[in-house]
Parts: sequence; C-alpha cells; structure tokens
Amino acid sequence: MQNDFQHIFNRAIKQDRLAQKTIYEMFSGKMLAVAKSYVNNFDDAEDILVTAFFKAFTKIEDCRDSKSFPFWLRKIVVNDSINFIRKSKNLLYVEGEIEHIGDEISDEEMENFPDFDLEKVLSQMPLGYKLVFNLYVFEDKKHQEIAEILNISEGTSKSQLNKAKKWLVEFFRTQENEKFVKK
Amino acid sequence: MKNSLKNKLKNQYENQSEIPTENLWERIESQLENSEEKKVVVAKKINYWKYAAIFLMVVSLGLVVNYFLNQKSVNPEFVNTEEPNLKQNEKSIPIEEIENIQPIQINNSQEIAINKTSNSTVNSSDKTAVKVNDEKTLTQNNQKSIVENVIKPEKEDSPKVIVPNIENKPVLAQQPIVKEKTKYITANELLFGREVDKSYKEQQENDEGKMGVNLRKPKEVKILGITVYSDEQ
Repeated sequence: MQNDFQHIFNRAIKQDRLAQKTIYEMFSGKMLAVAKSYVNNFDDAEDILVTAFFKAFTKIEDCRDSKSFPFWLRKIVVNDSINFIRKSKNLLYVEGEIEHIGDEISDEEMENFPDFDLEKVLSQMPLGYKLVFNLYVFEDKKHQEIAEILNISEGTSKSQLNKAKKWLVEFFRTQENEKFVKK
Repeated sequence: MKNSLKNKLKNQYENQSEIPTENLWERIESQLENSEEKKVVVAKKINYWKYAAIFLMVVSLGLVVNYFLNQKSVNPEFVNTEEPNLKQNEKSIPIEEIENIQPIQINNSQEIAINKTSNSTVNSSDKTAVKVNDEKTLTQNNQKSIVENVIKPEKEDSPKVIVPNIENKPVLAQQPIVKEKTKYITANELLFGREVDKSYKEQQENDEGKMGVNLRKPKEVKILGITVYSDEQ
C-alpha cells in the first residue's frame, strides 16, 4: 500500500494526470470534510478544495516525501479554509482575558457527554470559536501556534477555546433536552 | 478538556468524509492544464531569450574580434608609414657608400685617363726620342705598350672596382637584421608622441572645460548669506 502510494506520488511529481487523479480520489472526501468543518458550506468547501489540490499538485516538489503528503495536503486545506474565512467573513476577536477559573468547565461535566453528531456540532458552533476549537482539537495545535495562525494573542485563543467548551456543554444539554422532549 | 471527549471528537472528525460533486476533479484538471499551458508559453519565451542572448553574444564577440583584427591591421599601417623613412635611412647608408665608391671609380677612371694621357705622352715622347728605330717595330712596340698601358690600368683597377662591390655584399646581407631592429619605435619617438598628446590635452583643457562647458572656480560661494567657500583662504 505504502509502496503503491510512493509510486503514485513519484508519478504525480512528474505531473502525471492519472496519478494526480488517483491522489485526488484518495483524499478528496476527507479533505472536503475538513474544509467544510471550517467554512460550514459545501460549495465553499469545494472551492477551497479545488485551489488546495491545485496548489498541492503544482508545488508537489516542496513536499518532502510520500509519507508526509497527507499531512502536507491537509495543512494546505486548513490554511486555505482559514484564509477563505478571513476574506469572506470579517472575523473580529475581542481581546479577551482568560476567564475566571470558576468559569472553567469541570472535567465531570465534560465526561458525561451523550452521543453526538459531529457534523451538527460543527455546523452549529459559532464561527468565532470554531476556528480555535478546530485547530486545538483536530489539528493538535497549541495556543501559541493558533495565536500565530489567526494573528491573535495567546490569551484570546485560550478564552475562545473556553467559550467553545462552554458552548459544547450547552449544546449537549440542549440535545439531551430535545431527546427528552421527543421521547 | 477530558481526553475521552477529545478522542471521541477526533475519531469522529477523522472518520468524516464528504462525497465531492462529480465535476470537482474536472475543475482541478482544467486549472492544472491552464497552468501547464502557461508554463509552456513561459518556457518558449525563455527559449527565445536564450536564442536572443546567444545571438547577441555571437554578434558582440564578432565585433570584438573584428575590432582587434582591425587594430592588428592598423598596426602594420603605422609600421608601414614609418618603414619608408627607416628604409630611406637604410638606403641612405648604401647611397653614401655608393657615393663614396663613385669618387673612387671616378678617380680610377681619371687615373686611367691620366695613365692613358701619360702613356700617350710617353708614346709621343718615345716616338720623338726613338725615330732612328724602325718605325714598324716602334709602332708595334708602341701599340703593344699602349695596349699594355691601356690594359694594365684596367687590370690594376678592376680589383679595386670589384672590392667595393664585394664590400657591398656583406652590407646587403646585414640589411635584413637591421630591418628587424628598425621595426620598433624608438624611445625618443614615443616620448615625442607623448609630449604631443600632453600638449594637445592641455590645450583642449585650457580652451574649454569638460563637455564644452566652462567651469571656472568661483571666487566665493554663498549659501543663505554664509560664505561656504572663498578663494582668498
């Protein structure tokens, strides 16, 4: 499998259209989901995907090897998504101090989470904290890195994540309530 | 955040997949093709530049070579203009020699003439002195003596005449060596040329300033009423 991908990767470096299409078919589904988790819109996500794959194929020489390609491609997609949000939506982060310790969500609260639909979570989470939340949870970025990527302060990044957590707890609660109502 | 929730979120996120619309690949492909066409165009342009650069290189090289060749062909002209003078100098030496020789020859001929005259006088004196002897024998003797006298000086002179000729030959042999030496410009000539150039430049500088503009040192330079430069200092 790895050898196969290595072979495809090598052909893609030589701008082989078939190899490029194979790579596209391998990663497009996942990358589309990643892009959509940021922009909340299927069409916008597809636009991002087109530019991201175009960048990836034209600058494939910059990628060190076939093993790092999936992460490299994902980085492009995430960056493009963030840039898209920056351009289309005027995001303004209020320089927030870190919330009081009392406001921190307790681990117990987070432990009792019900089953949830991630798509619903991501589509309903406000854009303000979703970027920080995505980067922190799904891209495993540290607050310092997030601050650099989004051009905000580290404190803002932390407070945004805290807001996201709060929102998530609230979301779970309402979901439970909805289920209860339905029953 | 508890790791269990984070892990669950992450797992779900990583397993997420969307099915893109069918024409999405075509959109990417068309973009790639457009970029490749652009690349080809750029490559062609670069090639043209290369050809243009090579052409320019060749032309400039040709000009440089031509210039140097011209310089080389000009140098002989310079040598040629000077060579006649040198040749004249060379020629002057043989001419002088010839002139020196000519008097000798003339002297010889004069001597011969003198001899002839002397002989004739002698003959006449002989004729007058020895009238008693048989006229025939006398005339024969006289004729012989005349012949001998006439021939003798010639015989005596002939080596003298030939000697300078022989002396001329080594001079002719030495000539090519002298020629090679005279190809060089003498130090005096060079110095003279330099002096002429110097005086010409000085004259030009005195006549006009650079680029035909007269730049004379101002006696005083004032900026905002403050004397920045004055000639008196």
